[in-house]
Amino acid sequence: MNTPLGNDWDSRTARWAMRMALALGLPLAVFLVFLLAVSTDNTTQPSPFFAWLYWINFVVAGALLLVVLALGLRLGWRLHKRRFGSRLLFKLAAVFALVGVLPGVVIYTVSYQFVARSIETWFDVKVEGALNAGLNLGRTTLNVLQTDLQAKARNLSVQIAEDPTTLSPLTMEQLRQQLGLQQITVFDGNGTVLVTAGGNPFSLVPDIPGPNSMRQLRTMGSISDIEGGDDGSGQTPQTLKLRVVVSLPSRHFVLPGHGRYLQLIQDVPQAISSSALEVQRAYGEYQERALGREGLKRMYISTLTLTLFLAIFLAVLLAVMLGNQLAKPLLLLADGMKAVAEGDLRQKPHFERNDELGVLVRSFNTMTNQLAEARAQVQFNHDALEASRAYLQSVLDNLSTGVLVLGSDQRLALANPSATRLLRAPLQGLIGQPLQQHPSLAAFAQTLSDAFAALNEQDPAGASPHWLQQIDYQLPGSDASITLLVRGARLALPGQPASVVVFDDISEVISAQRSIAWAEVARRLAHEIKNPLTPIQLSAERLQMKLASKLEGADRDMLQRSTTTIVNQVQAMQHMVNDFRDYARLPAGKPERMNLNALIRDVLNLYTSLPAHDGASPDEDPEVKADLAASLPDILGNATQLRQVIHNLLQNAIDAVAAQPERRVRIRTEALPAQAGGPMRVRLNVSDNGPGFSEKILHRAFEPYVTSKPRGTGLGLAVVKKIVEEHHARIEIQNLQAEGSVCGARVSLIFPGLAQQAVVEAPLQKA
Amino acid sequence: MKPPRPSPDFQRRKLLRAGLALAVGASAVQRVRATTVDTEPLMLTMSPDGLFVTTAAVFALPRSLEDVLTRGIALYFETVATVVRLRWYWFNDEVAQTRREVRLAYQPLLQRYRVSVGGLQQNYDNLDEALGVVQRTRHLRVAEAAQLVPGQSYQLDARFRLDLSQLPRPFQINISSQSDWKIEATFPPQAFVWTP
Repeated sequence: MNTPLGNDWDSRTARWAMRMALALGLPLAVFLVFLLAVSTDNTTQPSPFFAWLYWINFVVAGALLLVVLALGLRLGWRLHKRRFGSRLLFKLAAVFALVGVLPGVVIYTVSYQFVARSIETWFDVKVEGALNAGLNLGRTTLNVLQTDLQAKARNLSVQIAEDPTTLSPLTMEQLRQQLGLQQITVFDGNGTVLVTAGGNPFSLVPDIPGPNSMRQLRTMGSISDIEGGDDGSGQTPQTLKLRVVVSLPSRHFVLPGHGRYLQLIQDVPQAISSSALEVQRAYGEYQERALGREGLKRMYISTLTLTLFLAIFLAVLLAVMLGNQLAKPLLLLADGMKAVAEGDLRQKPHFERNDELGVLVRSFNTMTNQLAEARAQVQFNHDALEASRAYLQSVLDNLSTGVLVLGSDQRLALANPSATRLLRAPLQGLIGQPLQQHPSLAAFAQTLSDAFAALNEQDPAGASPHWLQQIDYQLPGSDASITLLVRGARLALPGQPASVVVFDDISEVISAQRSIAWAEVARRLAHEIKNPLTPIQLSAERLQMKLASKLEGADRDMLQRSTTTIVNQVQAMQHMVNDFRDYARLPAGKPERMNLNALIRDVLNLYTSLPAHDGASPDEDPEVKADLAASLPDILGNATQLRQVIHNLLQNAIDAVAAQPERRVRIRTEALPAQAGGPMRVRLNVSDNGPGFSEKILHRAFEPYVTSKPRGTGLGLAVVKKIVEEHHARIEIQNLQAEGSVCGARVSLIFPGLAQQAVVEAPLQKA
Repeated sequence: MKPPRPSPDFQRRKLLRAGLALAVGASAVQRVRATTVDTEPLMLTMSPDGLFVTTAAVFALPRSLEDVLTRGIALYFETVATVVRLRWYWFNDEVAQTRREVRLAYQPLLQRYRVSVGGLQQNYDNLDEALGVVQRTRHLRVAEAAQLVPGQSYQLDARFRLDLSQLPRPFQINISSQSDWKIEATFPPQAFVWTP
């Protein structure tokens, strides 16, 4: 009964078995009653249906046996297969069968004994002896009567022989009455009646022996016979009659066949004949039963046995059916329980009955429903939780801010990808471990724990206690550091101390802030310093002009030198101030289509006044080698600004190689293959073989006033960066490595190229 | 009683029966062979009054039946004779049929046997005489002359048997286990042309 199919099949078989039992059982009962009635009936004429009934019952019993066997086998098979519920069914069926069979067997045993014994008691030697004696008595009586009649016949025949006159009807009648005879007849060998007396008054012909008897008479000379008597056929008269025929002696010679015979017929007295016949009848019946007692016994016992078998089979059949009926709801329930235990809350046993089992099934269904509802609720909650968790996770994953959740002892509980990226530490592998275990994070962890400790001291019961701190974080594997803005807070989780740390890389922000600050400083300086410079210069020139003529000799030279110095320094200062002003207020250039190579050649002319000067005097000027790509795509750019960029880069390179024995500066352009779907790009490299950038400068090279040169405003690269950004280009700065040591520096600019025909101006119009 | 002919058919039947007995196996009932009945050829008498037949089926009454008889239980024997017209194209046409029933009884009181045929009764002092009457059917009218067509070929079938169904009911139960009570014989069919 595991599957609905099996269940269906089961109920179908049960119904089938029920119908079978009804179809067979009812006629069977009728047959049996009829059979019993017939078999106990005591008529001598056998019922022609008896054998039929017997065999029909036999066949029905066989069919029932088959059904029972089939059911038993099925049950046994299910038991063997350990099918669910078969044990219960088996027990129920066994109990019912026992209840049905046991009384049947007891009654059968008693009845069997009873039948066997009681039939035997009908027959005993005494009865048989008595009947035999009765028969003998009757026989003897008849013999006595017969002998008596024979004597009479002999006497009469002698009397007739002596006195032939007695052969007259009158004398015969007298003799007949005298002797108490029924009839006296004298006839000859041919059967001709000579004299007769008495006899049936309505019969004209007197009763004489038949031809057979006549033949016997002729040979034997006399007959003595008893006629009549019951032979059981019911055709013969119920009286006995004695017939004696003797031949009449004759004094004359008589031809054979012509002798005369005297016949005497005497009725046996009614009392004797009826008694004798009664005894004979009783004897016959007794003998019949005695002979048939085995059959009788067998008949009774076989009927009994058949009844027992039928009853037992019916009982077993009913037992199985009742067991099914009783076990069905239980099995349904158990099935449902099993399904529920396996987590299937859909299946519901249907069982419409008003008894306790029905109530049980309904309660079970209610319980299953409630369970299903509860589970659906839990599932819903779980789904909602999962969704919110996934939402949170995706938010965390896509957040550029690093997030760490720390448990007690700063054990890492959660870290988002941004945290891993910012801290450059394998945080996912550290989950569950204290943060300080990782060497590169030790300082960071220390800072965090200090901050939390301070937070605890400060306001242990704050409503939303948190701290905000800016931390310089040393990136692992290098001596560069980034600035992190870290915000820490205690998480109000019940039971366990936890804290969340949120941090962001604000190096860029700080850099931008510095740029803005420097721009402001530059603007102010330019404004404040430039104003007095012109009067200073004019005053100095005027001093020289007015006083030069009035001084002589050394004084005049000194004046000359001093004013020249003043003017030069003022001009230098003005130059510097102009630089600051330029930085602060770069003119918004108008971008147009241009070729970078042409611009570079233009700029290089300033460094090599003559094309032949290239490499002519290595001591004074560094070697500036140009390596320009042949077919370079045009770019969108402002020539003036880009010229300054190239100028600044070359100047930096030349300054860097000033102390080198072999001074080499290289500028090259190349076309980079296009990215998927975009135009070609153009790269401009300026490299030197100078000492390179120190690690510290490298990260902040583009900030104003960051310089490695002894005399420098530190604005060169800052201006370059600014311009480059306005051109939507990218700038990269790196040290050249050769054999593990720094052997130069390189600055690369990557511009977005223009398609050969199309002119796209949109990107720069925004700028 | 003549000894049974040792024919191959008989041998085969014996074998078959032995096999059957083996197959039945557990059945403890001792199988007794059916009583052998010797049939003599039918004797036909064609007269203007009709067709008459004289039959003789000779058998020895088994001991058990004799016992039954001497205890006063009547035995009924029947002879059935049938005239059929053979039809090769259809079932045979049953022209006429006659049944003669003979009742054999013993009177313990008078210690004699009585044979009743129809209304006629005859007493005999010993069994053999009585049986002789039972076994022989003399001049039994099978068909009226009107039922038969002169010149037509017919066949006379006859059979003789002990009618067990007229025994008292308790004996009926035992019949299946007492096969020697089965006294049956079918006379060899006799073909004749009706020429009265």
